[in-house]
Amino acid sequence: MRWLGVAFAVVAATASAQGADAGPPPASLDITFAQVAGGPGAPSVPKEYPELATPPFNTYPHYEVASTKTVSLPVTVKVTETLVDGSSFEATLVDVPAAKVDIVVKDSTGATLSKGRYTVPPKTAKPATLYPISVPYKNGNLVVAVSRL
Amino acid sequence: MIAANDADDGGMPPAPPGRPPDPATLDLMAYIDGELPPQRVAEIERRLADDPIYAGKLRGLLAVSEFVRDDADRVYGNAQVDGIADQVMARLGRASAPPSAILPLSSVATRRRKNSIIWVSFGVVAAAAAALFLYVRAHDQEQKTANAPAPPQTVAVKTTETPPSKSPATAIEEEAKQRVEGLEVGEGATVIYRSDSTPVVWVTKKDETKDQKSPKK
Repeated sequence: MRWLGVAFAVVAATASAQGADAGPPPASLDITFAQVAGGPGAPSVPKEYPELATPPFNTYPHYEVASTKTVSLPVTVKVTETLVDGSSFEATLVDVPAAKVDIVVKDSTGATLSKGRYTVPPKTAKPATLYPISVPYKNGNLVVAVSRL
Repeated sequence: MIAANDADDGGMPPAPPGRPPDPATLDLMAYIDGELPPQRVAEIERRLADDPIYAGKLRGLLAVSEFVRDDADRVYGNAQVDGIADQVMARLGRASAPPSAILPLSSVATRRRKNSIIWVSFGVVAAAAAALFLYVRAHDQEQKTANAPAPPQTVAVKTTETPPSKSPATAIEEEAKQRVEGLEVGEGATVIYRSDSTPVVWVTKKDETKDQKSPKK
């Protein structure tokens, strides 16, 4: 009986310690950041990005994914990705619940190509992918595709 | 009755003070006092007939008993107690009192039960204190969340005049403008508005590539 009481106290102390250390979950947005290169060739678009077969992207019939990665956007922290053409893509999460992201694209010389506050659509939306910009690349273009992870 | 010595000595000298009588002596004392059941009396009488040492023990006890009864006035003539029986019982009480270091079994059991109750009570109190602490902390966190400052307001973006768009200002353009706030584009870029979708900034640089196509609308 004595040790039962001691066990009570130990369990209670452990639970209180865990409760004290646990805090609110971090605020961030995880996205898939893809660069899709377009150009002449047989009509083909990646199945993840069917919108590339529609205007204005169907200017180039053939698209292939040049790069794709998962990026975590902490709130109010600017995250910079380099595009395959040398441009820079800057994203800053400013509104976690609404998934609003400030996006700034600059060319290789640092000149701003576009700037705006975008809402990353939820996975259930149609379309579920955000295409903020298309820049010249090789003999075609390079499209940036952003979607929620 | 004053306790006699061990059975092997014939029970002649009295037992040292503080030493409890052995079971055989207790039986004989009860036998003398007539306090045994008939079956037990028969057993003792059979043993008395077979065991001379046991019989000698009985004789010793009887002698002590007679001494107490017959010579009580001579020995305790100056006693201050009410009666000889009280004197004898008082001496018997001191002689048979167990050592102070040995507690009766009932007292030990009671102490163990008390200790168990104390430890269980301690555990229950500790658990209740921990539960109260968690509740208060959770309540504080809810208060902090409710009183947390509002998320940072949307930074006001100064919208500069965008280059004149070739597409007319239609409902599609107005709807698309709601999907992106404060859109600004640089030189050589065109904003293409799409229905039910975010506008696309289409950058063209004619001086870089001759094959650069104009986007389809």
